[in-house]
Amino acid sequence: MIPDQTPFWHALELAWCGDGALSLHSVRLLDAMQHMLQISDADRALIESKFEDEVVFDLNRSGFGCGDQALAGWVGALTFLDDPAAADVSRALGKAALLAGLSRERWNAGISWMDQLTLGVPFKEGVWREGDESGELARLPVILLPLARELGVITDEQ
Amino acid sequence: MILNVESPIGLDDSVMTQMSDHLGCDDEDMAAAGEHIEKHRDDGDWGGRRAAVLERSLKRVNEGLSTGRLPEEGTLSQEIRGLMQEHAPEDEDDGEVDPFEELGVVRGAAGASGASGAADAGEDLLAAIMDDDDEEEPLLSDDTPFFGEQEDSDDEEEAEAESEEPEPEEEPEPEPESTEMTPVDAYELLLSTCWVDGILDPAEAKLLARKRLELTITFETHLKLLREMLERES
Repeated sequence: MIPDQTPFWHALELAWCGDGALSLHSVRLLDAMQHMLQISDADRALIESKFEDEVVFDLNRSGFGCGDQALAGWVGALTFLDDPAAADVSRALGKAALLAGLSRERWNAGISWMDQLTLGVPFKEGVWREGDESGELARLPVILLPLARELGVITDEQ
Repeated sequence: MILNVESPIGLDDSVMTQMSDHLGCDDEDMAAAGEHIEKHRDDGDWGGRRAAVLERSLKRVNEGLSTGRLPEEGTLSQEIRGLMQEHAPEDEDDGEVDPFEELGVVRGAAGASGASGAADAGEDLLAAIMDDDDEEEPLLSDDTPFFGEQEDSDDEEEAEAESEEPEPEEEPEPEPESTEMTPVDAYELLLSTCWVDGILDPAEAKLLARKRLELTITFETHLKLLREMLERES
């Protein structure tokens, strides 16, 4: 796992970086996300302590934790995991990443992100064209958008 | 201290003197706590969270009274109960909340009692502030508990003598309990203090990180304590 290439790291960014403050509501949402993704306390500690060191300590507070709104949307996007097509979409993303040019860094980032979503296997299958032929990436759920940008599948504008 | 500061007549120095004497706070601690409160008080608005801050303060003072760490009798107890009445949910005219009170609340949660709750809170806030600035060891170090300074400084020789003797009857005294504070307890108090306004800012996060390092508390333990605090809040 690469701590800064995980959905939980992105959640921390949403919670903290809006105005440099963390609300209790955000903490509860982070707990909910940890529970939904079955992230161990050890893994969360690894991610969150690194986030504090590299991000939080350089922030300046300018509000009262308004990031909880965006974070709530992010946690809500985890419903994608209950989508029957989640595995197919993950394979398609793997294939699209390969076609976009998959460096070692991008591969590691993809595995780190998708493993935390428990979709690492279909993503790898898509990259290596294992099993059934992966379909085209017709849609991108919100929870995969940051990774898709990192993989070069979509641009920042998209 | 928060309840005291937010009272209609403002901060009552005589009450705070009693509190500091009861808790063993020195003038420097009190001044540091005052600065911390002023920094976050926002002219009593507490960033729009005045009601929540007062509510938490009262809740923690009640916890202190229920656990026996705050005095239930005497002048100081009457002062504290008077402040609690002033800030009861129906009396929110003032609209201001004291950080010190919140600090006292924090200590109350850990076991401080009624009348001394405000003082305890003050000490906690002070301890947190001291840690933030220069003086970190006195209140939060492993060896020296938040409330233990008085006893240690006043009766060092006696303490040594006591350690050598069994002293079955002296232990039941209430003060020794307040002086005994594990690193986790100390960190929990600081954690509650930082969250008293429902918001954590980068400076507070940095303070907590430094305390974890000093007290050898893991981030996993931090998460556990945070969850327990949230459960109490809800």
